[in-house]
Amino acid sequence: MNVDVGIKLQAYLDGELTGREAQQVAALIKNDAEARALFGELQQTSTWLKGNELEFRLPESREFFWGKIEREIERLETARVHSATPAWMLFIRRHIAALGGVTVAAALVVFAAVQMNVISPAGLLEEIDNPLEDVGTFSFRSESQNMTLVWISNPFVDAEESSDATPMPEEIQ
Amino acid sequence: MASKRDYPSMEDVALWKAAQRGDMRAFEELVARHRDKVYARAFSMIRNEEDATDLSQEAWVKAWQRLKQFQGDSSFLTWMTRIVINLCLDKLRKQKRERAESIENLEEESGGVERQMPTVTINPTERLERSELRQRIDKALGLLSYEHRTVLILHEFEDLEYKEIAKRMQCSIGTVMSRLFYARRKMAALMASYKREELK
Repeated sequence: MNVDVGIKLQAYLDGELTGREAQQVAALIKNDAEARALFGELQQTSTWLKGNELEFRLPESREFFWGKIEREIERLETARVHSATPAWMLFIRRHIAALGGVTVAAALVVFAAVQMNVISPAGLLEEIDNPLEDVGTFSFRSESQNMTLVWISNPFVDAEESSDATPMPEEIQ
Repeated sequence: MASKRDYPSMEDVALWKAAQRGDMRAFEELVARHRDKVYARAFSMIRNEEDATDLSQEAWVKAWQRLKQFQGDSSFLTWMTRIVINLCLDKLRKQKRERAESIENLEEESGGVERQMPTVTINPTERLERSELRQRIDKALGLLSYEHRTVLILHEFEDLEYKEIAKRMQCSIGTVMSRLFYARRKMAALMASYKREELK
């Protein structure tokens, strides 16, 4: 049988033909044994299939399957939020914890130093200058006291005078 | 507030409306309720357990993302099934592109052996239990090319018209009619061959 005729029989079966075309196919089924047999086969196949689909069960537990879906939704929503945020904002967000931590740590160190008198606020303006270490010259300037002190010492004489003093580098050698 | 709701006793409509407002627990209940059916559709098309599981998961994630677009024109399950069907079709198209077309597939497209097949006159389903009939139908479906299997699933199981199938499969109505015709003929022949084996 011609394939086109077969396809028309099928279209008739599926209710896709109307009017004159449907009447022609109905007449063909009535009068042609071969067309009738083919129509019967197509009809039978359709009947088997309808309502006889095998049921399958998802091979994963409810919790496990939902857990995967939930995580994926969260991941995509995070990615969506990120893609909608300007790059500079992301940079700040990414480093804000580190910057904050460093700032807090630095503040704590300064606070502790002030508390232990290692640094006094006035002392921050004082400076010690020792340009010639061998000669043993120290200059000391205090802005708070409006004073400059220059102290010249001979390290060799100092070392001899203090018998308990730490040996000089030359003596070690 | 939301966690105090009795989700299992709620209708689908109430659940998807709650989910549209961002209630994840309501969406979880919908997943629990329909996950087997969504998976079954994916498996019937893909014929691979792992891929079907992944695709049904992807379908649920997509559903959550597009939930606000759902207006309730069809049932929630029908909407979900359409999503998973589209994902399966995308996957099958991709697979087809990736592998070279086999000669067998080309023959099926143009009719191949079905062109000369005699009409099946015996009733292969006679005295068959429903579960056994279902097993045989599934076995036969598994032997069809993806184009033939898909067109049968969309027409016979999903009740889609030729026009809608053509749209989803991205082909002409003529191609749908031709594929459906050969798919039905091949199904009939396969079912008859199982019967003949049984009689032997």
